[in-house]
Amino acid sequence: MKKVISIVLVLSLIITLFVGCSKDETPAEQNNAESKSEATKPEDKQEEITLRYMWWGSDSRHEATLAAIEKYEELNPHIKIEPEFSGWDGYYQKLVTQLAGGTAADIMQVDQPWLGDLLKNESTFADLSSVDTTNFDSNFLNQYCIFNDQLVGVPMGINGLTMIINTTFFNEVGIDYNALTDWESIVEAGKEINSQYADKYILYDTGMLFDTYLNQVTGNQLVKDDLSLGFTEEEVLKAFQFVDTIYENKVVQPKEESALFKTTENPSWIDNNMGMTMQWPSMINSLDSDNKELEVISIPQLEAAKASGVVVRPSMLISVNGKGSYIEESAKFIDWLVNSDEGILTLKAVRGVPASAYAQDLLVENDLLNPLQQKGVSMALENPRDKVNFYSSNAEVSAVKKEIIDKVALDISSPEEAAAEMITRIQQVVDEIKN
Amino acid sequence: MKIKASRYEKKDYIGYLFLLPWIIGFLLFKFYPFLMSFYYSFTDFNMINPPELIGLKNFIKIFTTDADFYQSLKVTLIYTTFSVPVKLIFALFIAMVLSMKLKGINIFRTIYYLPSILGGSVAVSILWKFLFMRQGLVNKILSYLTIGPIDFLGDPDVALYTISMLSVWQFGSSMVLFLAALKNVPGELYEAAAVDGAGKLRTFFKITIPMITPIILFNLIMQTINTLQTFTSALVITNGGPVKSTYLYGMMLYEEAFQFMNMGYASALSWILFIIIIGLTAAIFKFSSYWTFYEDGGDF
Repeated sequence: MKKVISIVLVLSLIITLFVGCSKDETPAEQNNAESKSEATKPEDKQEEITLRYMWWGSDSRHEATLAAIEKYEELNPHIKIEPEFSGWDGYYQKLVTQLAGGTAADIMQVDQPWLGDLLKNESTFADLSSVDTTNFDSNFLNQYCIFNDQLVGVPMGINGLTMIINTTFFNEVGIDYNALTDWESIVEAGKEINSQYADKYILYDTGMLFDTYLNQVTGNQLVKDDLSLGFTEEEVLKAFQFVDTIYENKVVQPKEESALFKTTENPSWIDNNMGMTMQWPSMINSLDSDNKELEVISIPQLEAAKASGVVVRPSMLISVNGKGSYIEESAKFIDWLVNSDEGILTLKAVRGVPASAYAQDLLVENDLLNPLQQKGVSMALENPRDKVNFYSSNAEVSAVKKEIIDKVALDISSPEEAAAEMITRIQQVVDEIKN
Repeated sequence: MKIKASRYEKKDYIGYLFLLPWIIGFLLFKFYPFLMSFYYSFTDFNMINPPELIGLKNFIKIFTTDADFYQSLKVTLIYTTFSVPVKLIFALFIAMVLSMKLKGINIFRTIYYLPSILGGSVAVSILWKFLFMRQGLVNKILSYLTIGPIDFLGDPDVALYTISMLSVWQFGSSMVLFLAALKNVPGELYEAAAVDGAGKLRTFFKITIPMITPIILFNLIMQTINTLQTFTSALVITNGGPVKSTYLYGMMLYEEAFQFMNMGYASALSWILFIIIIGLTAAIFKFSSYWTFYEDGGDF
């Protein structure tokens, strides 16, 4: 009897283990299973199809996207869309791991700079030429979304760097932010403000100042397309001297304090102790809060700048898994999202100002577009720099760059040491990319 | 005899059946990745394209040109040599206190064990970050003593030790083991010492410590192995910064694997860590015979 009981126990353990496992079975297998059943029943045309759609974002984006999915499912009863959403942190790591393991979703939200790495395998993304792109700027698509004659993703929004102003801060310190059109005047105003209010800093450095400044100095890519450095030691020295100046003079919050926080969670920004930040218009909603009024102005310029430093790019792309089982159905869903009135109005501007002109107009008509976002993007579009290439936004290049900037900010390196280090270490990374 | 043996075999069989779920899990999720990582360490696997064998290139790069490797090794060793001894001393101290016969001592034991349960989680790391940031609670308290504010996490010279304290705070499991060991020290030894007129301190160093050396050794080894692999706190609290001052080995592994997608390179790094851990553990074992004491002669 005992034996029987123990065998039953063991068997039930094993069974639960396998049942547990099969739940985690890769969706690809599930899809296979479904496509098999499809093959056995060809007469049934409205086959149930399940698409997985993965994106990152904040609550407003999740809510709007879920509403859009619900609408689409109502219109297409045979299609079920499984949402998989999360915050930004760890999203890229998850995406890459899933792509490598063959478990990636059918429809994926992708950030444009990632394409450099992800497209190393040509079949990562399906060609989305079947999506109607007549309302999109073809120049923009060609630059950012079309590779090897394939549309690898449809842009969900346009982002262009702007200066986001906390007018509440400037009213309090009594300075006119409209006069802050060049770096010198910002530094001067910042010094003045910090000498009066020890906790207040005019500028919030979220890590984009250096690139912008350097681009204005050189007019070049950080790393050029032919894999040579896009800056000389003298040029990069100027950018590091700028970093040194703003930290030395408390124009920005000391690195020791700001290093711990991501863009939107810094208590000093939330408490109106910082005046302006260089950011993407799509971030405006997260930077906003009840205790402040925001405004946008254009990026400050260097005298005799060789380029504007204003990056304009898709805020994110929506792509389809090249190894997915329902590429056509996925593309149809995307088409509906970006082109149908219903899709556009449900999604609203939760992914930034839409890239399609038609969608922009429709949202403006219905009062669904944050005027600040639109203003920021249109200002950026007036004077954009050239597209940031993949080498310049490479993860390792960025990590090295950030480390050296931090050294200057923390007074560990002088600008001269930093400039020399930048030349050798970026060269090292580039040499590795070459191999 | 024969019949007896076969009965044993049957029993073994059922035992293994019970173990099967774990064995399957181990083979699938531990052993297989373990073997694969060995293979990947000789490839240029980047998660996107199929891996290609490149011989010893990864290892050569690690030892010859990668400055980050030495930095992370240095940081990890400082972190380990600081937090393991401090943690063990702290655990022993609390264990001594909790081994006293007080009212409600069991409640205290439970409470003091709690941090260990919470310890490695992301939530506690975030809590730590908010405690130790410039506007955090710790600096608030210090300001009443007119000290600070100190940038516990933003200052490259301090950040690593702040993170070490989080590891020290998770002293519970070592403490429980010490507690058990202290209970096992024969009472007559203390009585004899008291009769001979030995003081508290002398009793502690001459009786307590020698009697619990096997547990000290065990704790030392377990904590060293765990601490060398710390990852969560470095990622969540400081992200390896400022300027790589908390760039623990685990952090570097993660960055190479999932940030830069050099999976082959990261596999090579992880094998180096594996060898370092084995080496250190072996060294601790080897030298332990000089300072550990086993009542039964110590043939283990």
